Amino acid sequence: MALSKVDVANMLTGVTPVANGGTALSSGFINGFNSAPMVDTWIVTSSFSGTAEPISSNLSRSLDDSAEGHAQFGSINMTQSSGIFTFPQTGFYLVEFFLLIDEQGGGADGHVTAQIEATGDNSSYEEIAWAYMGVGASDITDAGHASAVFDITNTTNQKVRFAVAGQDSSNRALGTSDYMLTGMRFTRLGDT
Amino acid sequence: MARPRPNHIEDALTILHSKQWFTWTDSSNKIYANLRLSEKIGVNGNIVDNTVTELPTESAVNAKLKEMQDAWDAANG
Repeated sequence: MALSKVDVANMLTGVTPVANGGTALSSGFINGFNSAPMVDTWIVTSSFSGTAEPISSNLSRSLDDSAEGHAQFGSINMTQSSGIFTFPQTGFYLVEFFLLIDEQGGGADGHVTAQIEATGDNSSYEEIAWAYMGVGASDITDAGHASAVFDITNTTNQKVRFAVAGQDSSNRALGTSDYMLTGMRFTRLGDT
Repeated sequence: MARPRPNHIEDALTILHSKQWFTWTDSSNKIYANLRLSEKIGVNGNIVDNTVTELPTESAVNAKLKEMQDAWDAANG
């Protein structure tokens, strides 16, 4: 027999979650709740030729252009020293690396890589994600995007850095302080 | 699409040496007076002392930029 009604007073047992101020539950949370949302964008402010393993300088947080609605998001953000990025608190993070390369006289260059590298002991780094790019014999640019999700449980030991590898010493990665050509974005997805 | 004509000293700097050997005291005002050597560069997974130890002179930078512009003009009519 199909039920068309449920007798709440007599058929339910246990405790149902209670609204807290009408906006959040006081119990019954699920994993992934994001207590501190964050989107933090950094840019490489100068071009360079050849490799950077890792990128260690000319990094700046992307400035807001409030009139156009361009903004960072959240009350927490990443910090970096010599290209090594530290997460502001534990959580799941999406880390993205955008790289734009330019043939500048070095000729065809078929295996340039944008790499995201991570450490779990604040010492030894492993390559986590790669994006391959290539340029032709002359006057060609190419762009790559590498991304990875990290479960950061220890902000002291778990860090990330970024590298440009395999590029001919005469070709270059493009950077400017005006907008993102090469850069990184960190998005906090939720609590760990 | 052809590369734009080199028009900034940073174009010349990236030709003079490879890697992240230079930096700026003000990256929104990239003039020679604000040019500095990076203390460290990333090489093969390590952050090491910059192998470039002396800034090129302003005249050398400008000469390299003019050389690049002349080559671009010759190639693009």
